Amino acid sequence: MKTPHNGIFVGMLGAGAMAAVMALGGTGAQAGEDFPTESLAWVLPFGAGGGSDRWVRVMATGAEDAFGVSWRVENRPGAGATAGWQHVLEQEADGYTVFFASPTPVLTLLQEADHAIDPEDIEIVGFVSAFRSILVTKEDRFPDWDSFLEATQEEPLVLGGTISLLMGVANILDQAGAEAIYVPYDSTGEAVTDFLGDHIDAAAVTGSTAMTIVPDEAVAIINTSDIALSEEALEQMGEVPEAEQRGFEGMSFPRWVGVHPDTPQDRADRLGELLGDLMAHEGVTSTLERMGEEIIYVPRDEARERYSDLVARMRASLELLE
Amino acid sequence: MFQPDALIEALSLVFTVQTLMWLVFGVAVGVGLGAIPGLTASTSVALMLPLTFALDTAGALGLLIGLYKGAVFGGSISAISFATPGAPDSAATVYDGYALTRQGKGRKAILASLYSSTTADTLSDILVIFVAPAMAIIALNFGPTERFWLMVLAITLLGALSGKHLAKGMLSAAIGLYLGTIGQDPVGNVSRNTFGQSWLQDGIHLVPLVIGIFAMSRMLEQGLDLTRRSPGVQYAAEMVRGAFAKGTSTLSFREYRSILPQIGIGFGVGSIVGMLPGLGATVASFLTYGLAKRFFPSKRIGEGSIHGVAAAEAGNNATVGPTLVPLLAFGIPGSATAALIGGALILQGVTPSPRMFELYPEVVYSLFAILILGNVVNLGVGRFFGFFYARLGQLPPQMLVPLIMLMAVIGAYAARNDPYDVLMMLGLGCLGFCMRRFGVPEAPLVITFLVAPLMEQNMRRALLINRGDWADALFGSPLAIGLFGLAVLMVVLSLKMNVGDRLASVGRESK
Repeated sequence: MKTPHNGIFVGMLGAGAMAAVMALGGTGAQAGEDFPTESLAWVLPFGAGGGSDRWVRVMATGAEDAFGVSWRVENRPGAGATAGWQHVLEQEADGYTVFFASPTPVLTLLQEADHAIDPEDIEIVGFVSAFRSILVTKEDRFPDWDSFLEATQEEPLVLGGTISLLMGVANILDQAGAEAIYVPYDSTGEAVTDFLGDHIDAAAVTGSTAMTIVPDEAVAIINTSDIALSEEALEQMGEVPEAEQRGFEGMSFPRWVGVHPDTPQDRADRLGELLGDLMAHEGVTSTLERMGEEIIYVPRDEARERYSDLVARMRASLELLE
Repeated sequence: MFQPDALIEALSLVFTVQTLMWLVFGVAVGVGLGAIPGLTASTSVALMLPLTFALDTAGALGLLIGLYKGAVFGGSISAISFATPGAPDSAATVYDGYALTRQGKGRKAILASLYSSTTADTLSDILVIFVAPAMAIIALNFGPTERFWLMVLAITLLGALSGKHLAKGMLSAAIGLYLGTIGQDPVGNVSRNTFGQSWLQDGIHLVPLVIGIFAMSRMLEQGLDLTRRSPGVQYAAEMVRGAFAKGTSTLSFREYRSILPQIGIGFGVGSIVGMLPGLGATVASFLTYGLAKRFFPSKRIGEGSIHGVAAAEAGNNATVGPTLVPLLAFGIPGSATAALIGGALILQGVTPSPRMFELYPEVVYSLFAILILGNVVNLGVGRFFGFFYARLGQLPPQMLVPLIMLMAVIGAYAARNDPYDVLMMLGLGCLGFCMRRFGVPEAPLVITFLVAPLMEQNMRRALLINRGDWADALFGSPLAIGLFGLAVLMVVLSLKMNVGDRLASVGRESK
């Protein structure tokens, strides 16, 4: 199992991302250098205005510089975020139609046993970011991971969060030999409101949400992901145990980029290199930073391996939630 | 704690030409976008969010709050003028608003909507300013159990929205209940009633539903009427000239005073619903409309009454300020629009958190000032748009019917760029047309479509939390028991009033 925060993930913005691109630079000119020559369609399986939409539109501002061609952003929501995926599979496998997604469509496919699309029906180009699942509790009830674990081993506690974030916690609790009652919510905001109102025992939240309520209203007892928290987050929240430190294999949820599975390898490689250039583009990185977003770029080869691993882990965690 | 220095700094930030200009621009664009079917307040805010990158904090807040307020009101303009709600929040406005337009009182209806929107909005903003932390604590008491009973309360209003025939109302409610179950179930995410169609997996979207049921059904009905006449171009042209030449009725101060009770209900309901995450302005609007119809039978709500317009619009606009309460008190956005406004604050270097009042008091005070100022600007901008759209609503049906049908198609597609939504809207338009022909009311359908999934979601969450114990899941807190009692009271009152109405009608007939 990889431990990406040990040098593989390039940290937040700027110099780190640039280093990864430079490392890739040597091979860039060889593979499919006459590609792309016309504009690319970036397909999103979500509507306008959401987190993924904001990411792509900010990335599109640097497209001309990094890719040498412009992008058309196409929002194709529907069918549990798989309509956009289906659209990509229906296009020619020439690398000109790119899919930008989060774990949501993968989740839909895993929940539908007889779905026409398989989660592996994609050629991964790279990851651009990821979110972590942080478990938060009330300090007066469960001040740390050990007290929480002991309590939930005695009688399963009630945890709330979105399905993705709950999967992150379920993955860790399973490894710890503990059970919990998982209550899925449509949004982290709803789960946190019920948590703050003492209707549930703990909440699985993203890093940015954790930073808004810790330490005033809650305590972060474990980072269940395989990505270390940023320095800024640690400064705000204090010491937060990492899954790895506790002997667990964590799981994080990437924002990933892919193309049709039959796309020629040299074109997919070229797209991966250009994506690396883009994630080091000064205008793009500074805007994302201002938006409070974190670039966690994973190059193509690494991302392909991690994607397959993620699908397997999500499948197992989903069974735990049931 | 109140900080006078921060307040003075906030006022100096807000009362600048630049901030005021962005506020006016935001409201004007918001009203315009809100009036376009399919573009909801959150979509409008999302579209304009990149503009705030280049603005200071007060300017960004002016633009976004202005957009939000303008868009929520703007939805009512097309609901009144064309029976096509700009957003689902304004669906309840169609009943009385469009009926008034057809009576030639479109301008009166738009002004009733404008004044009730801004009045309820201002009152709820003042409430937020003075008691935001207390409101947030009240909101925290509403867990899944309490939210379930709140939804039950909404269901008890079905009787009032069913019109003369309760059985037809129940049929409509059953259709809405069925449509609401299509898609993934809210807890297990298992597909149901999708007939193996993956495009139904996300369920039926609210925008094509309200456009189909309210706008397309009416246009099909009017289109059919038109085919029975012998329309001529000359006749249509004369009607256009007439519409723009004639003065249309306005709203007197006396009429405004008469709608204050409905505005009061809207203010109360909208403030409570607005601060609870996951419910939204559409629920508030229908709840207020149902309550007003129940408690003010003499106002003939549903037949083209400004009281109906006032109730629906006060209900949805009163959610605007309270939606920001969880964001201000805990840093947690309670709605999509609140999340976007929170995002804009982060871009400005202001992270919403429980310490926001302490760390950024000048930003909080600026937000409060802009909330209030936004209503004043909305009043001015709304009057202009109101006049313009009221005139458009007077266009002859030969022009209006195809125009509205086109708007309905564009609106259904624009919400999610999904062609299936257009097909769904057309199918639901035919369903709505049949319902209208057979005198089956639409409101119970929309209410159950909206409320039933929320009821199911909250009940199942309450059961999970209480480990399957039904007694605890349903009556686990004094607030839950109180809401249950209120629901029972509402049913008893409904029965008594229905019996009273029947006795009165028997009495009239015997005379």
